[in-house]
Amino acid sequence: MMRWIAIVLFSFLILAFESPLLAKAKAGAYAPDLGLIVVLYIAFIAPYEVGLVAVLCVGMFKDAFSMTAPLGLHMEVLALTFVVVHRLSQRIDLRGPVSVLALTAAASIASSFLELGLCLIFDQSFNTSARTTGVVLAAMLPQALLTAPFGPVIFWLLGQLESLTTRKSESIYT
Amino acid sequence: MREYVNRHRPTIFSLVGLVIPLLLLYLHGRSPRQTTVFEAALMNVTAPVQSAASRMFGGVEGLWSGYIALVDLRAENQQLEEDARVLTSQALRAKELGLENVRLRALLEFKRSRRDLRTVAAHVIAEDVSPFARVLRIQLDVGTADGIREGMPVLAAEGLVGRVRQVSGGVAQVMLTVDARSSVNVQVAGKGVTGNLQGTGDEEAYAAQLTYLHKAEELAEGDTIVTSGHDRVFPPGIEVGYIRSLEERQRGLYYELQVVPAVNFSDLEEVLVVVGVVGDGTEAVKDGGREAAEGGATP
Repeated sequence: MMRWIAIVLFSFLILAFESPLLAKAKAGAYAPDLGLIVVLYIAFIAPYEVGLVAVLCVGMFKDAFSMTAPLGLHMEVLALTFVVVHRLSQRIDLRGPVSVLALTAAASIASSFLELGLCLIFDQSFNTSARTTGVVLAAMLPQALLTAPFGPVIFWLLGQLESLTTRKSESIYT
Repeated sequence: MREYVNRHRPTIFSLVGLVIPLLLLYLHGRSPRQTTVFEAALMNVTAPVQSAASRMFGGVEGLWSGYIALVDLRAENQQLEEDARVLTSQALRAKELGLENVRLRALLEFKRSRRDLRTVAAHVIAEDVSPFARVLRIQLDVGTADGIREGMPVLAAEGLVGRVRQVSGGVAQVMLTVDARSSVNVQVAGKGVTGNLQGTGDEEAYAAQLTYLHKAEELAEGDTIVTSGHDRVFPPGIEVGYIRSLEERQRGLYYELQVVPAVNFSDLEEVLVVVGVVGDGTEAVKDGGREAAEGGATP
């Protein structure tokens, strides 16, 4: 139980620090999707029910720290991502940081599509013009490339956190 | 029922986990709308954390930028201090040169106005100063080698300074007109009053007194006293001072008036020593026998 609370708290902290840090670094437009990486990690290590609850918490934090997205958007996106990745985790072997990098990039693009779709359906303040949609689509690949390098880093940090909380040093990599 | 729930737990979890966010999204995706209780609660939780994080990063940023600035600050400070020293020195030098230029121009102007005088330019190299910061005697960087003899008049652009009292190879001492032993035959310019100007030797102020027999004309405060040339020591027409006040004292047959010297002895830097007079036949000064070097002589 402790490990899940620690992971959720960790995600809360990185999401809380991400925005001010990027603002100070004048890089607010280049925000990696750190919540997504935490969700990927949870999907690989957690039992389904516990993992889903943890992911909903992470999604709720992401919604809370996001100043533009309607509440529930990231919860839904991350929950769907979790469901899919959790299923796939039984068939995917993470052999090292490169595979995490690739997984993160692919998940980032998929979650961006999901986010766009949900925005188009539910967010009435979202500008549904073709131009806006085009801009969002064009930003997906850069967003994925920006997020991907953080995958192995966050995985390593979460691994260290787990070692502290469970007093076991099991690697997520096979 | 329990068995059913246990068997379909993952599915139920999935449904609940996916439907709740959808409901929230549906509620909060509407526009326009008001802030919901969920949003308010989340903002209350996240705002203090984010604010603290922002302050922390601001502090780190300030510390870092301060440190980075400090790394080069020491060397930069030393360089700036050195620059400031050099510039201050140059500014002082420029100011000194400017003042010297003004004095020399005035002296040159005086030389041009008195082409009848053969002069040697000299620097004041020492001063004998009273406890009241009044200059009692000055020393010049010229001497017998430059044609200077005892008794030669010493002038500044403003007027008469005094006369050479002692001279050696390269140094001459000058007795000022305010010295108690100094006596100069003078006249009040344009008023036909002739008398003798005697220094008071006052250590607190530069002062002299004019002693005369009678007044051909009424005198006025500020009247200019000039050398008469009658003593055959000082060439005529050199400004000596100004009448300070008309409060005259009678001493026997003579009257006395207080005179302020024309020259501020405290500011003297360069002077002219008159080594000869040419032109009008009044050989007030014996020729030093040497053409004034350093451009000092006026033919």
